[in-house]
Amino acid sequence: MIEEIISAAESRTSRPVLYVEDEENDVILVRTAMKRAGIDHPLNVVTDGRQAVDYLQAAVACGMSSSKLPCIVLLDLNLPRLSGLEVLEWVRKQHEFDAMPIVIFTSSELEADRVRARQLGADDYLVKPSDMFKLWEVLGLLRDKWIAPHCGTASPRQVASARAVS
Amino acid sequence: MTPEGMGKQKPAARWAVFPFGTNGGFRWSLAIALVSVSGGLLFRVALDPVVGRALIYLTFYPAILLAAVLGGWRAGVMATVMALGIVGTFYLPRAGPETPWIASDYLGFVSFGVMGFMVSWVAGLYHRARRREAAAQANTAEREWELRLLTDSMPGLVGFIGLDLKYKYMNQRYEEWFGEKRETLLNKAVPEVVGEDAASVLRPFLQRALRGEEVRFEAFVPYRKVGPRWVDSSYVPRRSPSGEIIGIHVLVTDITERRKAEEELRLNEARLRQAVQVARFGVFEHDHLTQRITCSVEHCHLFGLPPGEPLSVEVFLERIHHEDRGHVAELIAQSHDPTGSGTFEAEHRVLMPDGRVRWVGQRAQTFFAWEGASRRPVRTLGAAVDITARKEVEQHLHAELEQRTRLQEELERLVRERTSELSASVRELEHFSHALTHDMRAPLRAMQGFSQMLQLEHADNLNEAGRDYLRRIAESASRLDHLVVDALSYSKVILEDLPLEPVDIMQLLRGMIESYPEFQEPKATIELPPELPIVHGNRAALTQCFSNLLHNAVKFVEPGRHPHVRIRSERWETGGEAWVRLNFEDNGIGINREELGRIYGMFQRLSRGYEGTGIGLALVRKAVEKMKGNVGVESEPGRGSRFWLEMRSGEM
Repeated sequence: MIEEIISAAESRTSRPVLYVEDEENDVILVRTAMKRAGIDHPLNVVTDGRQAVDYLQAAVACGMSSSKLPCIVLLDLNLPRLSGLEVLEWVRKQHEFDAMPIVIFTSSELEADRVRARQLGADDYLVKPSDMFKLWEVLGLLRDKWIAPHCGTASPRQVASARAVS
Repeated sequence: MTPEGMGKQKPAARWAVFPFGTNGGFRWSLAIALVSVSGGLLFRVALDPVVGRALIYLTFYPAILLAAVLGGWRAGVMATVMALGIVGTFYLPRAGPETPWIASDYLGFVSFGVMGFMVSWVAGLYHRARRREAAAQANTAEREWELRLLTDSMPGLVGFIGLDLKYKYMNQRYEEWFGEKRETLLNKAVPEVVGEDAASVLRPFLQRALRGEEVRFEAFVPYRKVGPRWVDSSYVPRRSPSGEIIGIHVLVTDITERRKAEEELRLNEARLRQAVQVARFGVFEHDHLTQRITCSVEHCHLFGLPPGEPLSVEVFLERIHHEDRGHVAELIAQSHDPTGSGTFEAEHRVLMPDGRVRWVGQRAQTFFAWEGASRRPVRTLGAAVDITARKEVEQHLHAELEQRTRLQEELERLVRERTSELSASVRELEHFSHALTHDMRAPLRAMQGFSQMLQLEHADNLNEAGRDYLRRIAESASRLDHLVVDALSYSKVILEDLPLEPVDIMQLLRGMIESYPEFQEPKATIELPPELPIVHGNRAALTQCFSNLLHNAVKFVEPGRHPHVRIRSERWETGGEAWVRLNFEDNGIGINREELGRIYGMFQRLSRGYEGTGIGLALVRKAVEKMKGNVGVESEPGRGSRFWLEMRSGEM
């Protein structure tokens, strides 16, 4: 029954988070940390820049209200085939995605990268910490600043209370 | 000209008393006539009681005569007329006032008139003669005075010596030369005036002049009083109207100075000639009228031409090396142009008859004269010298300089190449470091993350030891991660250029403290002073340094103790530059004396039990040194440390 409540909650917030990251370990860590931070949106992962572009093109082809269309993109910079900045540049050229926030999520603390990302139209720039607890904090920040406002009505409290019931 | 009685002043007009003359014109004459006739009348009236009406004309003849002598014939005539009037009115007819005139009356009257006129005329002649004489005298006196003035103003001696060789006349110069007034010198003999030594020199010339010869000579005469001097003298004998010699006119000019100047000139000329000879200058003169060049022996020799006859310009031009000829010919033409300055300067080669080439340097000046409305060249004077040796040296130096320049350019090119190669390598290395760091941190993240996840989710499945192992894994991963990051930072400091600019320290520190919770209460107290200076440094590097220093300060404290860091600044000037020292004083665990020296070294970790890579301070030192500053430390175990940086002030 709990699962039904959770899936019901989930189906109401059906727009996914697109996470572009090639490091498998980072994906697992982030997925876990997201759950702990109460982000329940489906996490769709693509492992290189080309795939990210293809995914977005396909989503648009299905229509703007498709459930595949991400409500936010988490973008690493170091990607094979197309780099994160190239993906960013491409997305910002397609004006269908103007409402979609793009948050850079990278281990690079270089000022140059931060600046370039801003220039190309990134909405935010978060640094991937090595410590688990810190990662948890950063994702909490992401949730409050970007996901909650843009991605739907499910609040952490609703999900937590749904869990607590079980 | 009478030499006697020449006073200094202009002679008074001696004729002034006698006759007044007709210079007053009609009025004068009338006045004189009136006075004379009145005199005559008075006299006549006095005679009346004695002679009655006889001798009526008696006193009037003298009156007319006087009038004419004093006033000229006009006055005489007027006097005659007046006398006639008086006689005719008061004294005729002789027989008595009421009687008619008889023949003798008329006769007497008319003849008196005629006689009166004749007397006037004759006396008038006399009067005129006397006047002329007086005028002549005045003229003479005037001329005498003029002459005196003239001779006195002449710079030489002007004098007249009589046959007895005594001075009859002397101008003022004699007074200056011989120190006595003229009056005392006059009529003295020559030896007495000029001195015996001078006289013996002059005597032969004087003798010749006395014999009638006009003598002109230059001599060195040992005059008394004024001293020996060179003189240019002329003795001109003076003859009387009958041809006899009556004396000698003497004219003496002092030419001592001129002689001296001439001597000096001669000397200088000799010196110059000598100098030109010694220096081996050739000198030449180009006469534009004859279009010929006269060259000195040396000059002709320079051009390989025979000295002696003046040569044409073409001959000289022929001698000039054909490569230089055109240019030199042009320069010559320019210097002959009246609108220019007339200067000529050239260095050119000369082809000697034997085939040798010689370098010659010439300088000349052309002088112009006005001919009607235009100027034309008259004369060119110049000098030339052999500069072959110098030219050789010049050329040698020039070649050497060219070679050196070439070498330098080559060197610079090599340096540029190497530098760009080096820069490329540095960029590559940086890029490599970044990529490497990034790739190394990913697995470290995984290690740390997963071991933490194990700790969180599977703690129950592990015993004490197991949990301990996990903790150690996580910690090790974290340490390695920090090391990797620090290593990257350090390598950046080494590899990158650090452009320096004024940096506001206060703003930097404030920003840093606000960004890190570990620098704020309640975790730590960082005390900033009210003011901090601007330093000359690199913003990013300074951020790194301060971060390292502050992190160390709050980290290395006694467990349980509240970290307290005090930041202070000092300022001073040395050698014209302003410096700043920043002190970071903490209440940490302190450093042993023996280890103080090593603390800024790479990988030096002095305390176990505190996390650290050992790179932090090494990075600080490297960065500060790259910003042209210094670092240092003072510390005592248990009493905290003072880390300091010294940098140049960034304030203008």
